[in-house]
Amino acid sequence: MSGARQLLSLVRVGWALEWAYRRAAVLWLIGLAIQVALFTVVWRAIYHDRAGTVAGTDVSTAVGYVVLGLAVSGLFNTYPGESIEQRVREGLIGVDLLRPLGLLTQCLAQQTGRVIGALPSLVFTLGTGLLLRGLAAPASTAAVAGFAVSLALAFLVSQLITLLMSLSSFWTLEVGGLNMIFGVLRMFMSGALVPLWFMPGWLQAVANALPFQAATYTPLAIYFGRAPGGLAVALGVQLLWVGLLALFCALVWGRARSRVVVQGG
Amino acid sequence: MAESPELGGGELAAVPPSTLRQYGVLIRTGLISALQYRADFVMTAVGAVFYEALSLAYVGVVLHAFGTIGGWTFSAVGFIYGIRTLGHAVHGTAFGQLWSVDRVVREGEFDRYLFRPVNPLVQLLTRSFQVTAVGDLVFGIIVLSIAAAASPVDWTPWKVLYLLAAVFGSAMVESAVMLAIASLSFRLLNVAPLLGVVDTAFVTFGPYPLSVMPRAVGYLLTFLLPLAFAGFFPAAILLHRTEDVFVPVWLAAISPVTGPILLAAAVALFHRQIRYYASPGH
Repeated sequence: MSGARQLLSLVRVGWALEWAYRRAAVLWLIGLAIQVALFTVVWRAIYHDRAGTVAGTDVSTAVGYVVLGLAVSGLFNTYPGESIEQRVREGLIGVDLLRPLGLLTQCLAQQTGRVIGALPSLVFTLGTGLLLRGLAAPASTAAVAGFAVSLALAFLVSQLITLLMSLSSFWTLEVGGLNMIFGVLRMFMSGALVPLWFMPGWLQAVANALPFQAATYTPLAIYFGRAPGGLAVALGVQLLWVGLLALFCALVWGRARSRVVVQGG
Repeated sequence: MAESPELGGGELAAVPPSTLRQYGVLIRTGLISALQYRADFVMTAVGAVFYEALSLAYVGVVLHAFGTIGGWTFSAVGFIYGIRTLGHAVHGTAFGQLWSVDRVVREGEFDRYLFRPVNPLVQLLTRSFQVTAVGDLVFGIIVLSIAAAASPVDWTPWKVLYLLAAVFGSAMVESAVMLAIASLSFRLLNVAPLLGVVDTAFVTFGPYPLSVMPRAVGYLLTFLLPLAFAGFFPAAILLHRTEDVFVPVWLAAISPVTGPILLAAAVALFHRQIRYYASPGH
């Protein structure tokens, strides 16, 4: 089997896993749609007695932002349920290590499959936004092009973040608490729920120092014509994070490799 | 519910311990077993604090940018948030295990509950100790203390008492809603996503003065999903902002009482739904 076909088969596995429990998956999608509706109502309520703009943002931008934020995070932040954590716990990691593809490649391929499997979620998130008239037009045609490029980079950043997180299970088998902290940090610091420009300066500084914003906030800000530091800088920072995170993953994996404990292996 | 069964002849000496005592014993056992894994215990509790802190950060950022919401200042909104956060923590301490009701029913763990001489709901709620509740409680107490001190309320013993009643009422409202949904698991088998949606609704709407919502949403959050009684109403009463309350003021004032009433109804519903339990067969 050629390399490309091996990769594709893993992508397909990720995709199938996303839909292994149909009913649960459908309920998750409905949950996402309800979340979009809730945040739309809340943002409109917050703007309730304000006609103008706050931090240069009017109500339709604020609502449009959160709809798009939930759409992007719902698509990219697929939970690595069947990945390293569980496989280390069940000892299946031994089998993974015997496969002809490197572990990191396997994981990334599967995660990609999961994201593709989650594509229908866009119908639910953006569809709900459309129904509630919460979608906002992009700032300009150039903004759309920048958004598309930035979104591709955001995909890479978010998948590398997920991978880095799951690699931690080589050190601790009990990752419940850690996962919780991580999920929360990611949701907030990525700016999926509230744009960074609403944050006080010190919090913006913290968010800017972390990779999460490159996974959601950057493409959204570009879409609304507010690329942080200008388009070139914004994309450059994303590229930098792709490189740094890839390097981290390789380093962590290098250290983890020597301490794999195959349960029951 | 859950009275110790009447034994035919009073001469049988062994009187089973009260439901409350059974609950106490089972909770303690759960706590001891949870403490066997210290590091995990701490991580999970800390993780819970982070989870709660997310909603605080969200509200904080919004208020930082907007100053006031519908005329409610930072400290007033913080006060609603404080009641809701501690109420949520108390709810989690007692009813956190409801999140596993799906698995308990699907995998037949519930079989065991029906055989043992302890009320099945008590067994479900004590099946293991809710570690996240420890973090939630610490966080909730700190946040509400700060919010109560910062709010413009002149505290008298009666108002403190009302606040405490409001917190427990808030917890019971949430418990009642979650328990009512959990009782559907005997028929639906999969209620975790539904619990998740309601949890999100509580977290998302919880801290806001509901008077700024469209009136239809406000009524929905009062009469269908009784969230208004769990934070906004009692806060409005204590802050003397009754002009924002969109129901008769007396109804808002008795918020602390709605919790126990709803919870009693939900407990009754749970016991009625048990009869739909079909064991997966072991």
